Amino acid sequence: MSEPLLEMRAIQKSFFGVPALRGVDLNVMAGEVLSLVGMNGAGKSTLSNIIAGIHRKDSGDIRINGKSAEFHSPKDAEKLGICMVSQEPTLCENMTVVDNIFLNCEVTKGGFLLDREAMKKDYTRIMDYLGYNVDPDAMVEDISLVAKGVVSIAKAMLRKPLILILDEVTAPLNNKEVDSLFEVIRGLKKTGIAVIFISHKLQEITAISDRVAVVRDGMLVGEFSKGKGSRILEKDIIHLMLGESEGWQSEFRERTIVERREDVLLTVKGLSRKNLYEEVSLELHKGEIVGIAGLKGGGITEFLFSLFGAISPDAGAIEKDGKVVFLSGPRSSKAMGIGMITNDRQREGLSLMLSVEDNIVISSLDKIRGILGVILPKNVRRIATQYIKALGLKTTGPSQPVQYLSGGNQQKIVVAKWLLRDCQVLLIDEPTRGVDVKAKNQIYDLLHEQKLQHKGIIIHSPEVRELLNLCDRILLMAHGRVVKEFSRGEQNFTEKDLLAAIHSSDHLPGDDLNLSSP
Amino acid sequence: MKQNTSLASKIQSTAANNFLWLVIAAQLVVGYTINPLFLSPLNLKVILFACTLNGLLALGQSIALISREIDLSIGAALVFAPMSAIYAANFLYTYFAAQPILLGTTGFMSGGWFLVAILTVIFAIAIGFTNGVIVTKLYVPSFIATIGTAFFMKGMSNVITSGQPISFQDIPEANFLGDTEIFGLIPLSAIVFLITGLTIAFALKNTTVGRRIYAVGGNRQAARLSGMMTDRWTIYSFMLCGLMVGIASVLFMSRARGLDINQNAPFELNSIAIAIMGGISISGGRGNVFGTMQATLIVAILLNTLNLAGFGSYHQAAVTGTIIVLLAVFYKIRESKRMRDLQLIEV
Amino acid sequence: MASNQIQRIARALNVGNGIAVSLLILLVLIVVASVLVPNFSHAQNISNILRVFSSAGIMAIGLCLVMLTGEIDVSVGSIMSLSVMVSTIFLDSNEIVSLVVLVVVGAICGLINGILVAVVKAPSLMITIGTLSVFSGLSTIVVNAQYKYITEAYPVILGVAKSEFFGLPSAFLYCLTFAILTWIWTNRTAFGKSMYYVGANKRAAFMSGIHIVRVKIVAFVVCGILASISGMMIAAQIGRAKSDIGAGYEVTAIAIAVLGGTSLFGGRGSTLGVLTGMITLGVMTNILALSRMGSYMEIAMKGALVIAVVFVYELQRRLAR
Repeated sequence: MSEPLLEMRAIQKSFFGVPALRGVDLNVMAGEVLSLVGMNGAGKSTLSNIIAGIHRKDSGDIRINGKSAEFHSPKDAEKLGICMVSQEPTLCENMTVVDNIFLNCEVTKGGFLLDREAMKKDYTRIMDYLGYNVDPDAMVEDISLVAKGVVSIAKAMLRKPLILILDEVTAPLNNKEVDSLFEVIRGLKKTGIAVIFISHKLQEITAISDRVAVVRDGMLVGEFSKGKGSRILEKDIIHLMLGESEGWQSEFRERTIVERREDVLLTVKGLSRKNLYEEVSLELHKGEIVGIAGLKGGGITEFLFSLFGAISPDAGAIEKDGKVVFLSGPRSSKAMGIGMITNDRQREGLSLMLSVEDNIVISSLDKIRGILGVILPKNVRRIATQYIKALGLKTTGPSQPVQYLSGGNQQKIVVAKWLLRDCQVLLIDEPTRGVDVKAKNQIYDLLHEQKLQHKGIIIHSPEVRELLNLCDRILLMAHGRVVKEFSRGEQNFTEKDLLAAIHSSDHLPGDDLNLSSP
Repeated sequence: MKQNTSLASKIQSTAANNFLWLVIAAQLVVGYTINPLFLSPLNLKVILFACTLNGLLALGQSIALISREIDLSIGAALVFAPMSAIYAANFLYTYFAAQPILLGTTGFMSGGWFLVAILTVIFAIAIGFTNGVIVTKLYVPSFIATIGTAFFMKGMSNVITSGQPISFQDIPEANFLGDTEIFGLIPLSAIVFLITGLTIAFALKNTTVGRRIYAVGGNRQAARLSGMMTDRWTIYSFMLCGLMVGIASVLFMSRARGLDINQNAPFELNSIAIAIMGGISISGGRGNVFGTMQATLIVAILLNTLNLAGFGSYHQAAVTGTIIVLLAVFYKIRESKRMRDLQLIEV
Repeated sequence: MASNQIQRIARALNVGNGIAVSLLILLVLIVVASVLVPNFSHAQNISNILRVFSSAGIMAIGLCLVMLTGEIDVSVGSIMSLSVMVSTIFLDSNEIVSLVVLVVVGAICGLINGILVAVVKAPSLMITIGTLSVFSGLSTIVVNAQYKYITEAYPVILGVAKSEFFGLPSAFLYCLTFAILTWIWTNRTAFGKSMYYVGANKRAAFMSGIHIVRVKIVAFVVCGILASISGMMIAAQIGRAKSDIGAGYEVTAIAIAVLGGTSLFGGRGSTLGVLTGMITLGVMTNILALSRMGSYMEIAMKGALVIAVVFVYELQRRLAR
């Protein structure tokens, strides 16, 4: 067997006295895709950041191609052949594709003057290599999301990397786009580049990886290899990630099937908004959880925003409690008892610099007023403490700034915010995005409780399993229209059927289920 | 030279550029109607000189705006840099040549022009450097930082000179710079402005310097992740702005035959109005200085027309302020429309 | 470890939105001043400081509200000039009417700023740079006379500005009242607290159901009103109302607000802190007046001060993270 491209021995790293990595050994071979998986806070981001030179290890050995390597910055790592592409926008929207790729390593005539001809030539070369085509003179702000991802990779390719780290780059992409990206990655593999792939979506992991390394509590607890003919199973990965006898089965707890339909809470009639969604109708009953499944770009998020008043529909009507309502914005929706948890908690769900308690009461300021309209801090504190306990929030106290909490705990605060408001209708977009498995289950329990209290919930999630777990009914939306409905208790209420429906509704020939097949 | 823009923005910028020429043409007509003196050679020279001064400052401001900063100290620096240069030159001359160039109480300068000119430019760049350091290393937002340095320079100018203006009458080099006119019509200083403007435009579009400045203004995070030393480039753009101020000061002094600390034309206001009118985006990373140069002409003609029509400096300032407000509103409405078209939620 | 200690101190200081830091700075300065400035602790001196700086303090309170929502208003000085000059038109006919006009003009200017910033969503720095010159231009154009003398003929105004209660100048008491009232408003009421939320994360506040537009407009209007009130106080104190009375005050107000812990980026700060900042600036100026280099040196120092103050607060905030 050939020598590993990257060898890491006994890597340790602590932040402010809290250990993040407790001695990790890891090997990466040339020409393979190694995936790093682990719950939030398990240490996989720290590990990849150390490889990329963003953090410096406290102790341990790193060897590249057998030679010992020390590096303290992303630039050092680059010189050694390690490049990282992350989810954050690393492109300047105001400049062209070519300018972006060659930023800070432009080809020049005489040191200053840009040699655009030479750059275009190099550009064509790289794009052929990657097997993807983007107009070099296009402004980055005008190109598609996948194209941006490929341009980011092209940028990294310019540095001629030996190891390419892809950190959550598939998060904003839909299945078809991920497919295209995976083709590019398979091409890279053939040239001997090692790819370290990080993602939360286990289906992607099992599809693309040659090896999977599972990180838990700062240690590497196991590896899976796709040997000849064998598959890497998601449930095995989850088992290792959780580390308890709990495991895959618990995600699929039995939920009670609602026998009797209660009153209609919300009626949507033929809601349309040009280029987003069309003729969407549904009825939400009290005590019901309705799921909406579908690929990204299907207009689901926008549809939910319309139910919240943030995007106004062109046509159609929304009725609440039997009366037609006009939702002018989140404020009026809130007043009518409709709340929404969006898919971007850091930008839209929380104020990171404010405290836990401030974030919990933000939507209920008028409710917690006392005499003369005064809000007493001790009331705020009391409420916050209640929710901290009820939700099992891991925090040092109600006055801790929310930015210090983990993803799962932050999401719980967003949920708490709307629970406090006691909305009748709760709209949720990706309830457990970037949330570890434990917190996921806690959030599912909370939602289930709301259901038992006769609230109505509409959930959109790219994780079909999640919808199957929670919902009484699942609507499938594709290209902005509702194309199918699945009900709990019926034959086709299974993951396989749902996934099949989702992909076939995309209407593209030869759309191989690359993702679900190993 | 092929423009590196997508078709839509190319059409848009062509239309915008031509639109400005039409405005200028219209202004010339209006100006003449209001007062026939408008098209007299003397007045045209006045306009061209105003272009030079405001235009150079607007170029500097444009560079700052492109890098997503703002420089509100250019007016104060316009006076402080030459003043320090004169005093420094005087000191050097006195020390080395035992022959002071500044004659005591009357504030009359007798020579040493080259030294003064060079020092002015150097000091102006140093002021830019200081602004840049304060913004990047002291975590102070650029509008506060430059207001702070502006106040400091304004106060210090008065403290050091005790309010007394400096004048020089017969320095041939200065006169050359200030008085020469090509074909008896176009002042040399206007040519200097034109050349400087075109050089900056070229540099911004076709050199690495330009790409770095646009990157820093467009997406600082991305620029940093590409390995750029973003702090350094912010400082460079402030220094470039300082260079513009330095050149403007030298031309100003030549023409005015001296330096008056107390002059207080609203240079910052004008430079912002011109830059925005020329298409430079307030949020950084967009726009080109060709537009700035055209806008310079428009604003210079406008202010001149107002002057000829009898409106004083306060009226002119009010008009400039209104222009800024209207332009800011106009661009914002356009951006909002774009966000609506992209189905983005604006808050 | 030393840096851990520093961090712990910095974190403790950030409690209460920076009030601790501003009090600390004030304390240090008072100690320095009592040593350097002759007769510093004399009742007359303290009373002077309080009276002179209370007007800027009132303006700073208004500015603090705008800054809490994440915006800036550099036109406050011109709002001051315009409202003062317009109100002097009515001084001779009826003092009370002129005071009402004063506040109304301030409110209208604030409303204009507020609408442009909150509804059109144009950047507040640009807008207020523009309205700064529009308002100041108007204040010269609208009123023909350059000066207006405030004499004993106007008892109400003079009374507000110059009298004393229990040794404390009335101007200070007004400032104190405004500071306390706005503090209660922004920290104990739903609408007031919204200002912090809007400044901390506008988008999240929107998605949580807060009325961004209303909050911002109200902040700008109150800022305009407080600017106009402070203007009349200054006019009464210096004895005349001139058309550029407000020139340069915006920087003083910003300095006071930042000294009091208000963040330029929004979401942090307190009007009680502004009170501290005002006293601090007063003490600082007291010390500087010693140097006797005149008002121009003070202007220069004001510039350096603003930069230093912003730096110190940002540093403290970064260490506290």
